[in-house]
Amino acid sequence: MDALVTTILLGIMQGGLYTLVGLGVTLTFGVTHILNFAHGEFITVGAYAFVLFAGAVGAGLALPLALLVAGGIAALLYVVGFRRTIGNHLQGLAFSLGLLLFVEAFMMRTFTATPRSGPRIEGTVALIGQEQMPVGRLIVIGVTVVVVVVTAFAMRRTWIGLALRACGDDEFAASTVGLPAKRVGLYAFVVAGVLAAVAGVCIALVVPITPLTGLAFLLKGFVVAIIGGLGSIEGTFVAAMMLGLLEALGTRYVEAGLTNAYGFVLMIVILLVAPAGLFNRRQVRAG
Amino acid sequence: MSARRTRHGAGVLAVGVVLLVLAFVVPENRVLLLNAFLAYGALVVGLDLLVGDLRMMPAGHAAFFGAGGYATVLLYQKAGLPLPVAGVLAVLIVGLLAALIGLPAVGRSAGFSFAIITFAFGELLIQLIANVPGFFGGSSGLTIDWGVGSDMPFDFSVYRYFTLWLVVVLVVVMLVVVLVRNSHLGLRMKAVRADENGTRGLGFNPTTYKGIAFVLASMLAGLVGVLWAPMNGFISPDTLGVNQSILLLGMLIIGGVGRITGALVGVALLVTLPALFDMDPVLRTVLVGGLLAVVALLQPSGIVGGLATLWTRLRRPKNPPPADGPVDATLEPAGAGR
Repeated sequence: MDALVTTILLGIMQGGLYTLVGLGVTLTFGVTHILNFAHGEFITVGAYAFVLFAGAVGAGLALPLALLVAGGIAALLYVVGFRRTIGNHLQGLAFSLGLLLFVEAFMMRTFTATPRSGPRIEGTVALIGQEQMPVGRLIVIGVTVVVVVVTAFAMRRTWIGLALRACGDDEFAASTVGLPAKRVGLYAFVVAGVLAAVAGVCIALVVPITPLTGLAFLLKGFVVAIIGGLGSIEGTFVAAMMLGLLEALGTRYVEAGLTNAYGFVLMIVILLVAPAGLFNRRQVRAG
Repeated sequence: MSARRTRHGAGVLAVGVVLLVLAFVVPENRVLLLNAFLAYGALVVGLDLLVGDLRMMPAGHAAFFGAGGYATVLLYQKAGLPLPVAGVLAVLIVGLLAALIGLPAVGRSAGFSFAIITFAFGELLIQLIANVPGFFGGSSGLTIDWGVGSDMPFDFSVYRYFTLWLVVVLVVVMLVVVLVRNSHLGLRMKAVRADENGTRGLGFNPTTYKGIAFVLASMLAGLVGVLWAPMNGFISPDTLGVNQSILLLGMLIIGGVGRITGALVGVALLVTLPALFDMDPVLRTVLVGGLLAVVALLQPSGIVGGLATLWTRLRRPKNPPPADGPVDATLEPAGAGR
């Protein structure tokens, strides 16, 4: 079991990124009952915006700009499109699949498939034994931890968080106290877009990005959202950490080629055994 | 019911005859274009069995097309089976795969896990192919040397020879769809689409019908793959990715769900036209994605569906006479003075 600490840290990093993506999927689904296949494109957009802005105005200013761009696009897409598809599953799916294809091919055409690197953070930190950990990855772990904690706190203490949770718990009751799902859905999409952009920025910090980056993480986001129980925030977090560690350990010690199979198999098993996911208290099935 | 089946069947056969004539008269440099139309047409018409008839949205239909192609090539190359036997076996393998993948997913009512699991299946298949290059040829794909010489019937080129087979496949797929739609199976599928719990109350298990439709549609997609791979002489993981699947969905939804004409119009608009004008494939993908989003929002029944609605509206008289009761002349308020 060489490099155990490094492997676990990498697993935690992946798990953190999956949490950010899965939270967006779960939040938008919980409020609007739209399963957004275009969610991964918020990651791609955020990552590319960060890399491009970092080249132009420096990394410090690029971060808020990237979040702004992704959040703005998410809001625009919701107002123009997703808001009309609430209540019609198939229409929402078709719309988001079209968006996925459109954004991905558009990015492919504009930026080509050549991987692009964001600003690099040099240096490594010595861990116990001979193990080394790049500083960039530690920073990513730190950022995801902070963002997840802030999000969890905001979901309990701020009015946006309360509105999101109220709508997720009982749409009708929420609408009677002035929180219609169609409006709260806008908050959900903006929050999801910003969280995805944070994930995109983090990804750009540690690995080169391509227009297909978002799609790969979208799949993982779905897996953790479903395993955790769609609509459940704690569930998403636990599932994401499980998946991240499982992938890191499996890749290191079992078989590297099967990385993506682990999560998929886990998801199928969970869907068979507990269709509502692990943490879903209400009888809302992942359907 | 029976009259409609005869009418639709005759329509399919007429289309088949037209395509067969086309297969003979199309100039040599357009044969591949016709082949693409036929293959995509068969894929999209088969996909409609799920989307149009059951309101299921598979996000990985192309994976079964690719699985059919890969299975044929591997059975032909590694196991040394003759091409027709390999093709039949490949279709059966695809059906088995579809049953394995689909059965856990089709039972869920809202169709989200179905979309996700089919989506994940496509991605997983790509991973598998890319990670086992020794057997599956890796991400660069497999070349097929299938040994059919130059002595084709009617002095045809190889591609034109496959055009005949693809015409047969398209006609078979359309016939299957027509027969299913006008059968008891089709009626039950319609009932499942309308009200799943109600159907269950009548004593029919919706999961059964969704499962049957999914396996059937996937086998039809596999059948297209069986012919496409040897025709093309090459198969790569790109042909079974999520992008391909969404392209297929896009053609179907833009053309119009629930109708064979809709599917064929979608394919003609989004495969044949761009190829005629030498459009860059990536640009075409951008176009299909954007159109899919717009059509899904504004006209969910697609172009053909929209035209059909327009047609019935135009044919209907402006002021239909009241169905019963005395007809008074006071349709307009007195003194409107026009």
